Amino acid sequence: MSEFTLRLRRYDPESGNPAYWEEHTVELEPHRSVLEAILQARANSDGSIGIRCSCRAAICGSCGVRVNGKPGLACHTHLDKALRGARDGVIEVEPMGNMPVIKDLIVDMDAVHWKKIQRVTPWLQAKQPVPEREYEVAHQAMVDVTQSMACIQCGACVSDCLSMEVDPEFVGPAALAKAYRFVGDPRDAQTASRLRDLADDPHGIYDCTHCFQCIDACPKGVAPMSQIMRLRRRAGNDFDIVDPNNGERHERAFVSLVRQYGLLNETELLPRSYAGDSPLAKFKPAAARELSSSLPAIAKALLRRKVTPAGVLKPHKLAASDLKAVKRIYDTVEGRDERVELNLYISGRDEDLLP
Amino acid sequence: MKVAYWPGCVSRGFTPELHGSMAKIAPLLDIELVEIDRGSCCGAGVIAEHSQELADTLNARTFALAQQAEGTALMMNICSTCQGAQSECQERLDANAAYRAHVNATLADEGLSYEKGLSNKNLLWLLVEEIGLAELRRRVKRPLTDLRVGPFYGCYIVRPATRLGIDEEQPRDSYLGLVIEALGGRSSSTPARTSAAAFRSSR
Repeated sequence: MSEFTLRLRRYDPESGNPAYWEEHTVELEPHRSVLEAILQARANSDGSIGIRCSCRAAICGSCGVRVNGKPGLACHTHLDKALRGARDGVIEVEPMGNMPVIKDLIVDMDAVHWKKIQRVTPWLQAKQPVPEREYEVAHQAMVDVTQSMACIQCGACVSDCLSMEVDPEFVGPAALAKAYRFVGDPRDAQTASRLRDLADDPHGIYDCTHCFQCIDACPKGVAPMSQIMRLRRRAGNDFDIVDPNNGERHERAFVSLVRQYGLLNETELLPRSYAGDSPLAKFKPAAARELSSSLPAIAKALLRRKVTPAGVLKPHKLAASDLKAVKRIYDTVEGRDERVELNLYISGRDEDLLP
Repeated sequence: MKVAYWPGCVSRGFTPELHGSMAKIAPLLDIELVEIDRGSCCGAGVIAEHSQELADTLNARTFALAQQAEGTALMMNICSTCQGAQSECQERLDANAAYRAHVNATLADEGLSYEKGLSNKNLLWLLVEEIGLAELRRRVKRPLTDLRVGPFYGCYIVRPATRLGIDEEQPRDSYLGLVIEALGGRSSSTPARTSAAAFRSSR
């Protein structure tokens, strides 16, 4: 047995008092969980500590919290590991972020998480006519969606989503991973309209900033951000959806500029992201508006000689032979009948498969 | 030490001070730079968003060029986004021999091939892990006395932690603070040090 001190964030909105920190010391074996420590504190010293839990085995998804600032399941975090991650020898436990606190460590999942899940029509909209017996589906197609099916709805990814912090209306990582579960399902009849809906929504798939928080937060390896990127690939490549949020335009401009120059041509990227993938983009109103609002930044960069007029007019480019090699790679890969994707969640790693 | 140096695009574009200062500090730290000027853009996650295989193949080409640079101990980059995007591609290439062979088949036209296990380190990692903080401290000429510096990492170089080799033995997400202090400055803790900058054009 060892002693562990927890610092719990306490808050009761009904009391009218502000949130405060409170320390509790418990005695437990180091391999026990943070959840067990919280429950011991509640049993031994303060029965009013609010925590939601059920299975205590990392499958029900009830006990999502932040331990030392990082989101996860309290029942899935060992005390010894939590102590090593503590700033000052005290394990800090607070409620998840991006959701209102009901009491202490309990957040309002209905107000945020479940509302967003409902937003993506989280059920199969079956192709008609529905067969009398079971649907026959290719094995590979269902393996593809197993990663998003591993979600246990704990809200850890929602808690630390940086986009949602800035835009609370962002559909968010958990709900978009759920959306991919149906977009990737060959039995679903609404793939195109689901993708169109989530691409057009200013708070949809293009509202994600690639920050990887949700990938690190998820206790189940769902990698919600990777599912969002798959939604984008399906929308842009398979359904040619051009959204009003410049998401697809940005991607297309980037990919095509690297093909043309081998390196990123930043001067062209901005106008093309707003007005389409053409050298004339900078003269179109959508790009001109954006460029003129960037004038102060451009002027400053010129004054400080970070950017030179010559550099803008003659952007960096790979040597001709290398550019030819890059273009050949583009032609080979883009010319395939089917996209080749390696998902390590499904394939595993070679070293895991060795006897 | 001799390194295969990947400067990236932005460091030679809108932030030329990065590429310029790298050239200036290299001799002071006894780093010999073999520039991989034939490599292409890492894709910054955007090419991977469009096609994983395309990003993986372009980066495998850069890795293969780095492996050809004679006498180099490792590949070094100076861009957080390059580190993250390249680590993502390398993770897939290193994990699966069949996939690696598939990607190498595309590179074969050019006589290039990527072999599993390249070490690709950001300058920050190289400073702490290869040169060492003690050595860095020894070489300080003008310490950053009385200067408070807030470390900012962004996203790509700190997440996902396992892919970027961050753990208790190798706390790469706190190296900036260590380097600031080794140079005689004071590192202030900023709550947003690992937040997203978010390119405006991606919104």
